[in-house]
Amino acid sequence: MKKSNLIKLSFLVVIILVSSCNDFLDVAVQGGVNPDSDPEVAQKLVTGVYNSLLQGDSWGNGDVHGFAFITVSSIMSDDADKGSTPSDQAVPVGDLDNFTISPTNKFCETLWSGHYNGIGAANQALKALETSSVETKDQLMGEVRFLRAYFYFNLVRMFGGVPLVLRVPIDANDANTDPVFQTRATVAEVYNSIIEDLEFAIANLPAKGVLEPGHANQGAAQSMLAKVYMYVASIPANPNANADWQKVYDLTEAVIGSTKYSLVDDYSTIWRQSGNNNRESIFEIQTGEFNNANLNPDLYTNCQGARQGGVGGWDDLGWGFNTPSTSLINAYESGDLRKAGTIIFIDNSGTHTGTRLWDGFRIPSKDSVENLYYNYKAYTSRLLEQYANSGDKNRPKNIRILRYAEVLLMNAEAAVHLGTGDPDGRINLLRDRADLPLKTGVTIADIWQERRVELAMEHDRFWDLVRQGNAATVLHAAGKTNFEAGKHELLPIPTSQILLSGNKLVQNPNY
Amino acid sequence: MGDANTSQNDGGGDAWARNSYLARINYSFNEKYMATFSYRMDGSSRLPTKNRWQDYPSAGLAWLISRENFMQNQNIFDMLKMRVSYGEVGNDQIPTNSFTPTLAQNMAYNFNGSVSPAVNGVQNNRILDPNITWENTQEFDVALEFAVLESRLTGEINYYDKKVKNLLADVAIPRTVGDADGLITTNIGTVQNKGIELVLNWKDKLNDNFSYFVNGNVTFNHNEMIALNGGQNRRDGSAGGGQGQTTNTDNGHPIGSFYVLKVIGVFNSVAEINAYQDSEGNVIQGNAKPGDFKYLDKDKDGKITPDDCVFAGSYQPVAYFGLNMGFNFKNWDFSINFYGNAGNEVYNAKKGARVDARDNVEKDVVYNRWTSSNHTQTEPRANEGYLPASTYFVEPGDFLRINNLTIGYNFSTSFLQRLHISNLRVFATSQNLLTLKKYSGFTSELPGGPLNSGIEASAYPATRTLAVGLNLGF
Repeated sequence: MKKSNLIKLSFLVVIILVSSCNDFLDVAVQGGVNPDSDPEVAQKLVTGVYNSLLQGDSWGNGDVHGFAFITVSSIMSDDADKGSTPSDQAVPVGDLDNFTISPTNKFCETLWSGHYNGIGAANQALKALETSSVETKDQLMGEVRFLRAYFYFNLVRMFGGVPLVLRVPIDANDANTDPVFQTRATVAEVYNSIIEDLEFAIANLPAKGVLEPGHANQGAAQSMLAKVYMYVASIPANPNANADWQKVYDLTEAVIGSTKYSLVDDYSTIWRQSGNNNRESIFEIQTGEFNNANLNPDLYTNCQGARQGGVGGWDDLGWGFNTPSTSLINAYESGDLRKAGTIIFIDNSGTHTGTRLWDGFRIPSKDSVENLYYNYKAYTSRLLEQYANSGDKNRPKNIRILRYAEVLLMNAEAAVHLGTGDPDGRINLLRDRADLPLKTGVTIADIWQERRVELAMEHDRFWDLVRQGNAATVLHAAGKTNFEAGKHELLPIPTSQILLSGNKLVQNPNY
Repeated sequence: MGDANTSQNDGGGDAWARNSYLARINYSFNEKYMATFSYRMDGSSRLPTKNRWQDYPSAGLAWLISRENFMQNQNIFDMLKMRVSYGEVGNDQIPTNSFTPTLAQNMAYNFNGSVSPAVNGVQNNRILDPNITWENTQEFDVALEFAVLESRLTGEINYYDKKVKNLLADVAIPRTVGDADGLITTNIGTVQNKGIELVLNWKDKLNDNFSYFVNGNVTFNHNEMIALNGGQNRRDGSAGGGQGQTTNTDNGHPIGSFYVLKVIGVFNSVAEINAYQDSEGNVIQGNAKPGDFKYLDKDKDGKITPDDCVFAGSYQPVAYFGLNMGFNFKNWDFSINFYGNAGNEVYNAKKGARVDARDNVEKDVVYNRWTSSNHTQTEPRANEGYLPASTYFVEPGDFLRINNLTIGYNFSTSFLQRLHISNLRVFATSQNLLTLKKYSGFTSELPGGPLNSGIEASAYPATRTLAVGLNLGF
């Protein structure tokens, strides 16, 4: 046997492709736009920040103005009850309503995610604007910083001092290691950042009428900053309270003095489609149509619509949450026109006449309806209003965040604190419209009462009670005896986020 | 279809490229010594330019001991072979645009809503890892193969040590960074699997009428996270129902280990709650009611917090095994196949997810619950709300399944010829005939990525199939 036969050697070289390999591997992303490839990207990113106001994924990835927002701003307060059937959404909505809140509450988590999604979109837009040569750069930055301030204002009212993220993370490692993403800033630091953003916005935004409605403008930034200072001034033992009330006064005076805003005559028309961006509106979340579909925060109207119950038998309007409470109903003075503009009263007289709404729609009487009261300010008319998809119960509804009436209320409150101005005159504008007798010598308590009924169901009440330092007293009186002072003024930081921070994110007291 | 001026069509696509060069040398001497060397270079468009190319060598040596002269005078082994090999392979199976920033489209807004059409916008809402690179598996094997008893018994014993470096996984990142889904695809670290695999196959033909076979295999595996990139542990395994993350991937523990509060009993009375104190006399679970779980205060700070979580096993089995058996007797054939694993845990997230008081619950949760007269220490009192993630939800994942059982009968050719058909077989078969398991949920075989596997949230039970059939050939 020859040795050569003993050795079998095979040699194989396969070259699959012999092209210029790196070009071959540079595959453009399909169907996606690279941030560097679009010259108008900065402007589009700004629109994207506005879009993040519409998040309503309450059980999922983010909520800013959806069901979770309604729950913490309204259902938790004494103005509204959970509504729907007693066991429907007992977790997470019932837990928030009853103050049996767990740090794993899903709505707390989506509010956290949603607001940081918005802040992330804002930081990305600001980063793109810095290097952009667009002519309206400063104005666009003003709009974005207004929105970022609004997101942080909601966060600081919901959670207290939160991580103050004002930049885009460089990469995953940065996101996981820089303490800015993981640790809480103080309440004062968050408020200072909000104030800085709003001052920039005031300096760089045009007055009302230059940009299309829906854009943040100077009046919106001034009004928002006034509201922020009102919260700061109300922080217990704030040594600068007087100076802060002076800011509230000056800013609201500026808005009033601009003469660009005034009260509409009929309170009840404000929340109709015809009342969108009316002369009273200062900042409102815009909804409407995109790609032949409704464009609006998911569930905002659907979860508040009148719900069938009992014998049923009608195509109802929604799930029946956030129902006005008897406490709110009793808060109205007799003859107050605002009561009928805020609350849908279900016919419980036994005469089966039902309830005729402003557009002619008739809700059947109580034996076909689950609850006794519903939020009129969330009613959308299928008969008289235009929607891309009017068959969908989740119809668009602009959400009024700031309106002139609130500017008057803030001005009056600051005026009483400072012993200046004309608080009676401001309040009486509202009382006159509501067909109520005029008042003289208004007190802080009068103004808070006026705030409550004027802004009822407008996502202000819970935080207003906390600001006033009245939350425990008022909520206990309204039967919400689980409310614990020193704990329930704030929501719990979501457990998932504490875990992801490696426990660097500290839980709120007593949770 | 809508108005051509305002409508917009959406669509997506995926294109990527891989470029590879491969060289291989095989060498064999006298069919006694064999060697294989290969070298490949892989380039992938799914990775950034600087990390695009990776080299993967491998080498294998085999020695057919039974061909040696000194083995010719023994009659124990019909075949005896030893193998040693080392090889590296890469993995780039991640979404195509994992390092390329792209903009989320259709983030529109209605300025002056009811009057004007919406203005289209975009968001840059994906945080990316620009340094993402190949996942690289390095495996070392030593094996001994043998055949004895006239090759009726063959088998293999194999030691392996496999390190997956730069493991690619989706990891959760804090929401504060503004990532739309809170996940990022990145290289998380090195995970090691090492162990011993045994395979034995027996087959015999007793006579023309009867033959049978038995094949068995068992693998003992040790899984451990040995190096985390950046040293940071990874929380994952969101269990739904508001329980937050249930797993923790950290050095020295199996990947995706459960990391939850430890249940050490159920409070039977207010006195017991008040007696559960830290060293300074603070009541640890002051808000508890009789019938609530008592949790271990691991860090002894007098409070139950996420810092009190303990490692509670993982989905990674200590052993897995399979067994196939069958025989042919005259015209009959029969086969049965078992498989299973042992030593792992699963998380019953379905039991933890209570979103509504009307939800269904497990029978045990109702009938065996703690009551003032039933002082069980394993089930809590009736509870509508969420329970935090704890060892209560961690259950043994061991199972043994009869995966397949088949009985068949072949009709004889003489019978068939008269019918002018060439073959006819009738059979009955069952998939998943029986599963023996300790787990109380539907199935302990669960989907998931490496960091979050073994969590039953919405899995369907495995279906059982019973079928009878007929094969007919002309």
